[in-house]
Amino acid sequence: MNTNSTISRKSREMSVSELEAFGTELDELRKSTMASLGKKDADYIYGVRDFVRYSEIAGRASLMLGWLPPFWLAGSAMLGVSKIVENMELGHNVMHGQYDWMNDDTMRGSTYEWDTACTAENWRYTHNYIHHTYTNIHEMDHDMGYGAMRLFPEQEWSPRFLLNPLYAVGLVTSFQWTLALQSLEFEKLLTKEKTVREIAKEMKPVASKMRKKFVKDYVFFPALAGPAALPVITGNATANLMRNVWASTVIFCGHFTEDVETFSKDILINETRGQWYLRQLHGSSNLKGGKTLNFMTGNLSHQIEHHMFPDVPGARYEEMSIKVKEICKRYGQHYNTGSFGKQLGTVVGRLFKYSLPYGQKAKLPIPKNIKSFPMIKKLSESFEAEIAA
Amino acid sequence: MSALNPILHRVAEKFVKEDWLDFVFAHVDPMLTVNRPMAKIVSISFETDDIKRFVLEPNSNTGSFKPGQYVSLKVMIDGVYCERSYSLVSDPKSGVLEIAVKRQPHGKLSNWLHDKVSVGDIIELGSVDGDFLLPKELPAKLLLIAGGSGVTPIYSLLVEALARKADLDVSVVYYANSKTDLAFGQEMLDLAEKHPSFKFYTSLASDGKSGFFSEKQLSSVCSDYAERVTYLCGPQGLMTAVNKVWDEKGVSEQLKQEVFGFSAISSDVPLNEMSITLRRSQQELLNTKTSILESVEDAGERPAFGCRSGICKTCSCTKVSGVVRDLVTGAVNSEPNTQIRICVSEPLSAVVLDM
Repeated sequence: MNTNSTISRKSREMSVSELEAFGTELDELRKSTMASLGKKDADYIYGVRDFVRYSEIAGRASLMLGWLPPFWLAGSAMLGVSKIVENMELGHNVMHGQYDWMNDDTMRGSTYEWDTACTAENWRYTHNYIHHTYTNIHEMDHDMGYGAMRLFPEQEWSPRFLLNPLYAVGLVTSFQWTLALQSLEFEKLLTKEKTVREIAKEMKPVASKMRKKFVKDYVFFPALAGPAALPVITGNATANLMRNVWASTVIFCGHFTEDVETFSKDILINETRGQWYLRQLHGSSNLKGGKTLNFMTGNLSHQIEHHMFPDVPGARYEEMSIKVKEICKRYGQHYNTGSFGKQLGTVVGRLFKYSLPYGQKAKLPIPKNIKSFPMIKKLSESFEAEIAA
Repeated sequence: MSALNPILHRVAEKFVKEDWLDFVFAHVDPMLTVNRPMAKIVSISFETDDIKRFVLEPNSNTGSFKPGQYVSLKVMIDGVYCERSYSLVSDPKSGVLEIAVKRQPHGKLSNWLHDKVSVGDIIELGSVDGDFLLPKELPAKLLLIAGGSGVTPIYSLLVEALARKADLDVSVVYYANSKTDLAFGQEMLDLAEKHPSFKFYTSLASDGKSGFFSEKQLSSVCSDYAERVTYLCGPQGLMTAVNKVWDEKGVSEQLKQEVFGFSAISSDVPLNEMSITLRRSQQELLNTKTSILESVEDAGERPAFGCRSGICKTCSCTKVSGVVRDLVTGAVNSEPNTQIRICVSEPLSAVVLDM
């Protein structure tokens, strides 16, 4: 298995036969969980859907009385929670096909349309296919920085990454919109891999969904509220912000933490089932927490299990994680988990560290005109000092 | 409600999810839906020891039907929607849907209907469909062959035929296990009394060898069978035997038949060892069974499915690459990114599916 040498290795090498047995054990776990799916799981996901619907109705109704601060606060919070659960525990999981076995048209991965600006069609491509197939492989998994941020030493540095932390703030607050635009890969304009015309063409369905979501939150419901239009607008914006920040933070913690490993393209050559599982394990990280955290993260608190078993219902990850942890321990493999605070801290650390050309093999000349900005000048000087030392 | 429907449909199409509207309406009345056909059970009665008759009152989303057609029922059992089709035995003008359901030894839906359903329950319906229909112009002579619970569409066709032409020369040959298993037997006896041109024959397995279908047995009750337009519905064994006789006589084109279930599709196709890759769930498996659906299930996957016989398209998914053959039509499909029904497809090359 070739991983990158710059990463701390907390796992031991496995022999070919060990890797095979490792994969088989995880396959067995998946099989037995799939076979046990039934009424309980169906009732659960219908319950989640009901929760999303009732909380949205309650939240939007409460915002209609939004001139009264308690109603505004409660309404925004309920709507925010509703959007989070719809996107994470319902939409994301259903769109993975986790509930396809139910044969319910309204719960089918291939047709479910979630309540966010990103079209389900694009999401199924960028996320279900690209991200889940090529997890943490450089130049293949677009989620590694979303084309905007530099998070790993293997990513080529360019001066624009000096603003890494700023991009992160922008990405986090506008997540639903940036996610919607992700499939367009704007950064390819910079490298001339894409033309403006191509992007404009791909933009059409994306723009239509974005418009729809914008009109819903900022035109339709405010108009319906009449005199309460203003608190409805601010309440909806607050709810969207809550969802954007929460969802993106959780996702960042799933793949950008300190111990997460990344891979080069050649790992795909003759990758076995066991190696695939291992790549998912080493490329993901979990969040320790209780039932509420699991629910509010759409069970992405078990990112490792999610990446190993993307189409097993998320609500089962917690029980599966016990077995996964045990298997990893037996094979001497690091199981990357920690509290939200700890994991997030390491993500923020990465964001700052790799805004500078750390890990860049050759010293890159920094364009003179950029150096004229005082802050950037200071940063590059400290970097040069570090290199010299 | 129906006056509101055109508006509702436009709203559901453009602005709101249909299942969201259905959710809201369900708080008023579960029979209120935008598009989904729903039905209330209004009566249940025993037809024979193992056949129950159910009368359903549908909502306005259920289409009309013709005698000989079937309706499918969608029921959630153990968290999984199960869909089965049943021939309609009621008068299309009556406004209700009536079906007769035989309890199958391992039948999920039939056992559920026999054991769990009571009057007042509401069930979701699938489509009303089927091409087991009488022609626009009735033939001069008609023969209807029924076996076991296959009697249901046969009975409907008989009622319609006699309603259209009271003195039609029509014969029914009905194969059943024993006298108590003759569902719709009394109704047909009554019709035979009312219409002297209608000849009704029953043939019972309990009577021994003479009770089973053979060319000899059939000609003893209906010697001119080869001259009649014939409708056939029954278990696989009977269907095969009848087809063989009609083939030998060279009158196959006069035989119309209703096929239920998967068994009618020839399963003696050579077993392939082609690989099937499921892109979304990252699985690779071998085509060990007759259809891709069965192979995938055999490997422990649980893909969406419906009729399992190539009708409902519930199991349809995108074939990313590879060549498959349709087990029903025999058509070979090598186009990338096309929708295929995996329950009736077999791979002719390595196949990648988006599931």
